[in-house]
Amino acid sequence: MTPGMSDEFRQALRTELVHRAEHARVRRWRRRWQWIGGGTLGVLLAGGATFAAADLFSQPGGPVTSTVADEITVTGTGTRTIDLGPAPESATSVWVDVTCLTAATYELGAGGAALTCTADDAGTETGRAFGPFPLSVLRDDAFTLATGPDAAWELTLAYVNEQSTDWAMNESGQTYGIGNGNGSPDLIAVIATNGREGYVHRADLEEADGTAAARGFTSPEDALRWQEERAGKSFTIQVYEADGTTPIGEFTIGPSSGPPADAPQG
Amino acid sequence: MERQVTEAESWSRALGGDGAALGAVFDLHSDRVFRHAYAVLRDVHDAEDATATAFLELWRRRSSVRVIDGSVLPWLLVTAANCARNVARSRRRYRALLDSLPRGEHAESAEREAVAGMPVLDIVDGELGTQLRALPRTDYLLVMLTAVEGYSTSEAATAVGISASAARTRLSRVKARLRTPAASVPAPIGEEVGG
Repeated sequence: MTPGMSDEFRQALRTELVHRAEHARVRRWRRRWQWIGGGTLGVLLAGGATFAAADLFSQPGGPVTSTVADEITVTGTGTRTIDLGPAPESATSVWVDVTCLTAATYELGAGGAALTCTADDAGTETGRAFGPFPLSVLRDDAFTLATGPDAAWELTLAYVNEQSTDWAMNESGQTYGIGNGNGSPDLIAVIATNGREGYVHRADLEEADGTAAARGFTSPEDALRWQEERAGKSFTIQVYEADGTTPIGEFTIGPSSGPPADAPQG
Repeated sequence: MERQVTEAESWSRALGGDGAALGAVFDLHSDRVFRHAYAVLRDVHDAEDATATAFLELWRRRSSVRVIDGSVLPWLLVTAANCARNVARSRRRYRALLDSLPRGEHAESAEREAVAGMPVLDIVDGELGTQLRALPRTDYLLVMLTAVEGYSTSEAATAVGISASAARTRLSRVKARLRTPAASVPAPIGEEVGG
């Protein structure tokens, strides 16, 4: 007869694990930043965001962000510099969560990001923006929010650690999830036109979005010709379950310049 | 099959900060992981520590955990086996936490055994068990995952982090080396566990 773990030990360990998972909750970010000058929006886009409109954060390969130092929350008016102290070794980014309390433009740190609010936005969810910033947004371990003397705001800052999770693998050995710093998985998460979450084959997507064609371009003329051929057209590819074979809907790539408003109705 | 989908979903939700989902993964595998640790350590307290360490490491290293066929179990088993083989060292990181966890009575758990469904000790006990435990680490893990846990050679290879052909080579070498005839290495067990 094999002895088992004691119930007390099991329960305490379980509670600890649950606590750890909840403590390291994913912090979702919104792209409401405007970039002044040559800001690198790519940092915030975290790769694959265009296609993984599916719930980015619960997909394999998606980011997991954990707080690695105490949050600092400050409410104030006008320009202010807030000292965060030295970054813990595990910190990869600074989490910035700002809510405007008056109509104004707020410059956020040293990276060139800013939030502009109207009177309607002030103090509401639409007047709030948050997300991870590179550590370079700090100067001497301090974050500067710059705005007009009468502009009021609430700001929360925290050092965080961001990591990409691993892609999952289906029974056929294909990886699935969303793209990250490691590239794209074999099956990329999307929301189908019927609203269901599923996956498209990377090869299909590259064919449809021009990535595949671009590999064959040998001159700018090739690219222009290709663009003309596709002008105004949309391309539909099959969306599958994570097994890569069970179809559940379609995904449409619209004309490259426009929003996907012309997607066929589900 | 459904169990795997459910686990993959739970793991995915856990990665998203869902504590209850991580709890579900723990409930699914804690007995199996404990039994493997116990098979090596033969001490309940040590096996609890190895089990706890495996799950805490599962969370700490969540971004690089290999999910095989929708399951984190192979990763957990490999980690628990590694912890069990060097329990003193593996405890170090979680020393304070492990010391703080309550140690209750370790009743013989016929009920849990029926749930876990796999008499691990019966399989790896005796002379064969002694020989298996004496194998080099990677070989031991491969045998444990294939012969005891019923994973395919390529799944086991992925869990251990080597190529499938290297795993095949190692496994045939192990079979040749074990004094016990290869035929007595147990056949793979089915997927009745945890369903």
